[in-house]
Amino acid sequence: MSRLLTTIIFVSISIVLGILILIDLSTGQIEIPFREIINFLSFGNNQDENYYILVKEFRFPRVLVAILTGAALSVSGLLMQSIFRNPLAGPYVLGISSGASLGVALFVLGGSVFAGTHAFWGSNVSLLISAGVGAAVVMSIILAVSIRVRDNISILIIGILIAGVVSSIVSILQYYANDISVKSFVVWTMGNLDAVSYKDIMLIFPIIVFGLAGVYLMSKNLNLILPGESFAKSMGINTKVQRIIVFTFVSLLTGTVTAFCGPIGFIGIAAPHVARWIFNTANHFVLIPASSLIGAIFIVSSDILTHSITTQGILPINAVTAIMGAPFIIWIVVRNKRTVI
Amino acid sequence: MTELLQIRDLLIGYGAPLTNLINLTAEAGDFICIVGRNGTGKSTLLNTLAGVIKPLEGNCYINGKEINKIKHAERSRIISYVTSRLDYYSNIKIFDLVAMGRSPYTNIFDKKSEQDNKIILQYLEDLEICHIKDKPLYSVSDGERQRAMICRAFVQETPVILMDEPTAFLDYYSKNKLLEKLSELAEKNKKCIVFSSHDLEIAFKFVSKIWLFDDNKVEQFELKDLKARDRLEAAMSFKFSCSD
Repeated sequence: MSRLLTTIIFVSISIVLGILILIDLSTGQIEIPFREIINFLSFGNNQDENYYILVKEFRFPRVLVAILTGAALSVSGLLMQSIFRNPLAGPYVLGISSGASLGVALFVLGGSVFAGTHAFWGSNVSLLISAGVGAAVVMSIILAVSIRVRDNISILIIGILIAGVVSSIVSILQYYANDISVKSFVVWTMGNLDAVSYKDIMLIFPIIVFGLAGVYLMSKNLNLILPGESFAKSMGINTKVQRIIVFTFVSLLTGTVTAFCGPIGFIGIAAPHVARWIFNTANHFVLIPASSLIGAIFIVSSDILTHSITTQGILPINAVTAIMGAPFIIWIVVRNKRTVI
Repeated sequence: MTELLQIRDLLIGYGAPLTNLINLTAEAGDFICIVGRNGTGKSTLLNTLAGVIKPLEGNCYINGKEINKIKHAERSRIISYVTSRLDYYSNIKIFDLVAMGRSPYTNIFDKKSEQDNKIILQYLEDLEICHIKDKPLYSVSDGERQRAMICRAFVQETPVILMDEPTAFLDYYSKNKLLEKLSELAEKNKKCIVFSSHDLEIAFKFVSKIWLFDDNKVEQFELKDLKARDRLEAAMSFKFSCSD
């Protein structure tokens, strides 16, 4: 693919994302005219104070979080697909999101079970750490398994089993925890972009940007890892070290967004495939920014659906991403003769 | 004096050793074919030499330096390696796959110079795959994939080139052509080339030395040695034709 064509596609999907952001900001229980949104985004004067507050305090942070979440999950998925050389890998299916959930469950519910208090959302930093550690633990298990088991489907099944174990541990915790903790946890598992404040964004934003930048600098190595382990080794790649770095980044990216927005599924698998398909490339220098943008498009459109399907309240985003993403994964499996990664 | 490649008291294998201790040497300009029945350890030796797996015992040295102690990045500028396993189906273009051979010399953004591109195009032409350079890898034939992987190793421009069955998948014409190119690289560019092959008739037309895997041993022969010929014929159930 020529450089020109790549640039044109990048510009086009950025425009699509821009339009979707405008739609997302303007739709909801109260419709806000585009003019007001554009005024807000260009730091202009809003004619209506109420619109201004609505956008500034509620909708804008949500869109910002949506974009960060989409980018982080998609790039995590891309990294996992590349390092496992498995087109079906992703943070959700392989149980990484579940691991983060377990971390959060132990923090939110465990506090109520063991200490008799409801830790609630007391400290966001400790929430972030517990999710990150949970993600890293599952990631290490999958890594250990993947060294022994090379078969794609087996690794997938193990991911599903880990998710099963995690959900039963969570059930046990829920059984003993008090009502308030359980409720806040259940709402969290549905995926929620709303619960995030500007203060949280100040924490998430630098972490995600750092993660994405770090991953981008690994592009050359990821390209060399893709053809296979022996190939990578003979091309001067220390595959062990690279794996550990990739796993750290995946845990960081997935853990961070999961801590704040809940386990959001399917975007991590789907977006990298769309990126490969649209850009027709295996080059990570293109795929990393492309997956970020497409992941953001996925989640912003899911978000639009969550508040435009029903006029009463907001649907859980996890339900929408599953409806959009799961058929896509079925398509990958069915189509898969020689899957391109 | 130290040879370019030294194998000293080496035991290779996965868990259990495949052969007795191996002691071999190779110099710049050597063109060596590894010969042996299936499962005797040819690929394992190549994997060990390339640093992909660790030896069970003993060591291999390049310019007197232990192969496993050389940093990965540095090693990729000394040894290039073509494995026999090609289970990579990707939409990567043939050109980009071959261009990976330059990556030991490029920066973190993999920026290639004019010179890099010239080298890539030169070898694409040498291996007669220039016409497929813009095709995605999954769409080309096995023989073309094999030539692309070999081309990638040439592009790496290392003093040592290791290849595991490079003539597999290739048609008769391409096998001859490849070995001709390899012997030219060994002779003119003083490369040390070690490859395994089952295409004995063609290989023996070009190579100077043989490493024979037989009877739990690895032995080195000069092909002009007539006794060695008898030994090879016995081990491989092979007949040299009178014209050789």
